[in-house]
Amino acid sequence: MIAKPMLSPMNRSSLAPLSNAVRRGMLFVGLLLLSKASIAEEIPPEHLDYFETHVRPALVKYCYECHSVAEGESKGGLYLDTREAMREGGSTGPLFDDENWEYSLFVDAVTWNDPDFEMPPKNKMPQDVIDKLVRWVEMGAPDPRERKIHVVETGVDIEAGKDHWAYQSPVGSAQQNIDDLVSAKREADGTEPVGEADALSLLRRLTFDLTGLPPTPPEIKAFHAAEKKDREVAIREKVEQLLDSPQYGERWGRHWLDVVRFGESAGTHNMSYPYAWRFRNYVIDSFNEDKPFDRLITEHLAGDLLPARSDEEKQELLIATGFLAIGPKIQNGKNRQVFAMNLIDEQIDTTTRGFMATTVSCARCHDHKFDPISTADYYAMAGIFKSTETLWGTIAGNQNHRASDLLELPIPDTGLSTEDQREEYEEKKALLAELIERNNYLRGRSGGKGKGKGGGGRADPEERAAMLEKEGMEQRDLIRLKQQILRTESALKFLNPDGSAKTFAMGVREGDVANTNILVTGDVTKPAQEVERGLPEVLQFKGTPEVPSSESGRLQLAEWITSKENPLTARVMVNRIWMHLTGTPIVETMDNFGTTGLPPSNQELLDHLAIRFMAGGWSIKNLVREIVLTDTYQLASTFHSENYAKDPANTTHWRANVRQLDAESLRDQMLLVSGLLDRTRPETSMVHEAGDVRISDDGRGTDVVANMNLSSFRGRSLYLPVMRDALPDSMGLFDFPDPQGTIGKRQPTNVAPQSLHLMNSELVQIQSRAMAEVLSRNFSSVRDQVSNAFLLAYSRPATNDEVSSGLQFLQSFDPGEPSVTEPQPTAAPEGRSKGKGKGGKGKGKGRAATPDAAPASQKEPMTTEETKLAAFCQALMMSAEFRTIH
Amino acid sequence: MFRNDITRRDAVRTLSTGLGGIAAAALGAEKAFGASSSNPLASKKTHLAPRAKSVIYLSMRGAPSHVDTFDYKPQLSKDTGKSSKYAGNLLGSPWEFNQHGESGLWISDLFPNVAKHADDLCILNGMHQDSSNHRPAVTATHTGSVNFIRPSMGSWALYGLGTENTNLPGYIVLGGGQKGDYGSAFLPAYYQGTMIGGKSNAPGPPRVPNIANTIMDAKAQRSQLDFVQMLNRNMLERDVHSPIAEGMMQSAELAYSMQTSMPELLDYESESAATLDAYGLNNSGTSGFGKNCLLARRMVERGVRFVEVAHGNWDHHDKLQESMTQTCGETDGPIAALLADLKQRDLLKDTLILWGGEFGRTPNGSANNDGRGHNAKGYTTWMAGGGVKGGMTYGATDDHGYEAIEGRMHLHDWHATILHLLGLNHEKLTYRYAGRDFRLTDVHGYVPEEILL
Repeated sequence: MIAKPMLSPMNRSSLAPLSNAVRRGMLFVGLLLLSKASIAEEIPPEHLDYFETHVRPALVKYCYECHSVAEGESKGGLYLDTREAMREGGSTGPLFDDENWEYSLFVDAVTWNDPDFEMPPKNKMPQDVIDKLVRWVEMGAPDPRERKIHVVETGVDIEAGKDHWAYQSPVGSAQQNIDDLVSAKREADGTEPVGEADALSLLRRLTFDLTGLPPTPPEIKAFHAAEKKDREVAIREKVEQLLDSPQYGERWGRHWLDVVRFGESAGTHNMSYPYAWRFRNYVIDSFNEDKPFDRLITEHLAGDLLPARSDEEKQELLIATGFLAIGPKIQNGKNRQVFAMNLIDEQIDTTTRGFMATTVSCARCHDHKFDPISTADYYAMAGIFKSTETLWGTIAGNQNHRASDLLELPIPDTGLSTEDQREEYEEKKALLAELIERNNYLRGRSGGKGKGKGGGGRADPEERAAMLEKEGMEQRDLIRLKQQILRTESALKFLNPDGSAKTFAMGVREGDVANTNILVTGDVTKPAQEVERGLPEVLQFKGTPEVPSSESGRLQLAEWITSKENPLTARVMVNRIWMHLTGTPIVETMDNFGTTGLPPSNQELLDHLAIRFMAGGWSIKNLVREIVLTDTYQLASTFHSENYAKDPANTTHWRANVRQLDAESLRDQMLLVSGLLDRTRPETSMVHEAGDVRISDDGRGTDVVANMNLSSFRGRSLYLPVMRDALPDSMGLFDFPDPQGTIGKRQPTNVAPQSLHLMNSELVQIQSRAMAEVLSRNFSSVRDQVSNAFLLAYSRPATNDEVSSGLQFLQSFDPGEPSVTEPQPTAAPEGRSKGKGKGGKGKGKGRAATPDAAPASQKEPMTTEETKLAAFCQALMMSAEFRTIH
Repeated sequence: MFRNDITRRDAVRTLSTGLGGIAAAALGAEKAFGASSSNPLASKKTHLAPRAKSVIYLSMRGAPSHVDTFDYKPQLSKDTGKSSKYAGNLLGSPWEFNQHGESGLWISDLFPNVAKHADDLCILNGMHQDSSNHRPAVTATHTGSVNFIRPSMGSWALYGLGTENTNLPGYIVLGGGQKGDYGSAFLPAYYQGTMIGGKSNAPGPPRVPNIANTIMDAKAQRSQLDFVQMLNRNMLERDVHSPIAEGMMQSAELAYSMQTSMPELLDYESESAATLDAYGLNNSGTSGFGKNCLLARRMVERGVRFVEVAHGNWDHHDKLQESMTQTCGETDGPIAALLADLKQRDLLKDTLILWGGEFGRTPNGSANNDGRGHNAKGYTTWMAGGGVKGGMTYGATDDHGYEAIEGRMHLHDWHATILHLLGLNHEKLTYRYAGRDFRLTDVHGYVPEEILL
């Protein structure tokens, strides 16, 4: 009794072009008039009549229960109760196919032609209703149901808001002297500087601050001698040498990566981001070549829109836009619009807090309660990002509902393919062919490839049912099969035919350029009036760029942020630089210069640094150089009770702060003193090696993390994988922030789990053993071993007392028997000796391991003497001075 | 009144006070409490007679709806569908409320097991706070401040009271969260919270990384640590004032002890089958949170001062019915088991239980009447044990549950009350930093006598 579907393959092809043309024409008209006249007026009366007679009643009766605002249901993130909602679609995309209406998801669903997509589930609509709906789609789905547009009252007192110090231009000149400005504040507050630091403390401070590493014993000796001759010259030369070293960019690039919340996975559902490392390298290189800061920001926001003179430059500019793509995302969210708006919110937040210490994202749901930022300002900026297509990649399926393309780069990677990968590629391809064939067979079609949704083509539902029964399978097996096809296709999309990964980067490109509507309390189902793309009103100045109607506006956004008229950008950055070098920011609330933040402790100094920074072409290296050459920076860290009584937080800089080493510096120092540090930059990243995978979010260490064998990695810490919610212990335990958003200043803590790491972790055991071996290899007497251990660990010669206490320790120490018996750790110099990685990326190329650098004896059990010396070395690594800069 | 200024003489003197002492002994602050030992974590004399020795804070992240749980609003149900003061329409609770216990407290059907303990609950219906955004609100709930980095209430409690077990951290956080919420800010580092088991409420014993040494035995480790501490004391002597060195010394000692105390503490599977079952460990829905509740009991039993057990996510903008059923279902049984267990061990009278989120939710529906928005103007938390009256409600919101109108209790008042129950006067518990005396309650705070036993 069920009639054949109303369209046979014959008439489908003859009807499609016509109806398509009609429909596209209508859509165009509809969009154009959306804001001017009611859609209903534009629909031909007979279509309107058809909709009201046949379509609306059917939608209400069969669909609204699960897909309407009135019922509060949006299964699959889909509403069917307005024209706009149907065109936007749900988690599987738009309901209508503009090219071929008969392939529309809506038609698939209501006709039950696709077993994966049968709506309403379980109860098929009567055939005559289905036919009416299909006919309606063919007509172009004319639909008078407009989404109710709300109007939000928005506006803040701009003039009053401008009174805030941070929204006024910096005052001062580039010619002042930093030390004078600091002294003036000291005099006002009645503190006195404590005098200059001794040479070796200063060397350790400089080396850590500029490169993130301690000085080596030869460097210590050389500097000691040079300083005796002429302190000023010695310091100048040392500073130049450190600024020129590649480690400078690693140190300062890593500071910047905190601001731009660099991460190599999504967080929450936690899909990996195997291409994020390119952005990391780009940042390091940019700091090493001292790219002007205004240019750096412009590249971050709009690199793809800048002219490039060569492929190399194009490559770099595309990678730079990774800034907008590497943030945390909730990719298992089903609702596309909610996801899109959250992505935009994250981009706005990082852009405004990271570059301008302004919390624009507070205005998403209502006008900012404290700062003069309106909801309209927020959505004006949202429009810029909405007109931008963000590309973060990841493979769809397996609960990852939100995958995207990636940017393909002009210069392919070379030499990254291995035999394993080629094989794996061929296997995957063969598998895909097999899966498709099986799918076609089970669906009762042979060869006839339809539109490619996992095989395409259609079969009669009854035939299909018979086929399934014959094969002893169920509907859900078909769905599983189709998902497997999608996953395999998605994985192959990322590979070259030689099996190597395609040369991809995360980033952005221009999307469909359009303004956006204000959303009432940020709710995507409650759009209010549209706002034009633009920039927050309170921060507009003469010559604020206008957003052209044909572009997203990212270039103008960058122009505005980096304008010398912008009162925030330079101040925010010099405050960051000052904090990294002195430990005390001038504005304590580093990422919030708004009215709820704290005022600067010395605004003259802040303004001078900002003006000087801009006048000096936004050169970060120049500013760093100037600051480290000041008397203020070179002060001793000596305690002084009278000063302390007046200014315990040292905001007047009466001394240099004693600082606790951050996670990277601590680990890098261990690897340096143990002789295991490999300073070469890994080619990619362990996350790239792991490929497109899901990193567990329960922190319990799934295979992905365990396979990385982090304890034996010998590269610098900034090359460790930065997976959200799954940071390596050596980082996460030591206050490396989980990159959920801009972090200006890390919060140093001092808790027992850190001590446990230093006492018991495999990483520290490997380092202390290797350090002991270095010492016993190079020094024959125990006394020399001890005194040189101090030199290595503390960057200063040991005192006599220290040497004798060390000797005494070695004499009396008895390692005993461990309570836990496990194989003793070795440095495993060949890196992971696991089989092939999950992503088929083969072994070890992200690793900086160089086999010959590791002492051969590491695999042997230790002698008692070696165990003692290793315990002594570990004690130094556990001690407070090792973890401190004076 | 307390000062963290220390003199060289003080610092040098501490060198002779042995390992437990550490330089913090020199903090004048400690002496003000009449501490008998130089250990900053040792038990101290309080301002008042303490009613509670320890706190278990059941922190419901995302802000549970008060009008669907512990704030009965019949008028809201009557007015369902009417337009509300703000956006959307009023939404009466989809759940039924009944009176429970001799006291007849109104509790909804979402908490059938907790309701059995109605006569132990002190329900605070007049809560309100300043921020209705999650992040600042959670931070304020912990530290009293929305915008600045301030010590957490657990750190203040530890600072004020010390701990009764120096082999375990005095302030432990289960179920995760952000570091700033458990930080000690300008208070010395040994008062900060220690997070155990990461963010999840995953079943199974929490992983404590690096808890055992694979190379040396305990005696060898001790002599190695003695050597380390000697180096540290040398640094402290040179630097005179060094919070970094002090913090590292203290946490190294604690870490050493934790190697034996922590595995023993975390071995909850040694509890009786009946206990495991009561806490819901045999049920996948309740086992994660239930395990943390059981661990919390084991912690207070061993003298841990402040335990926080976090649970989420209660941010029910949509799917209110489905999600509330789930989140309440995950927590109702374990909380009831915790109350019963503490009572049976006679620990409830000394343990203050706190339940609540960072704010409440709106009486008007969102997401098509199956969700609720944020509401910081009126919400509910409850307390039990530790010197509060049971079987009572204090404070009230208006007829619809929008705003606290009676017995209003701001977070500062809540904090003041918690400190009071621990025997600490919130106005006297100060710490001098950057030239100013800081308090958990800033310049606010009121302790409602009505709710005290």
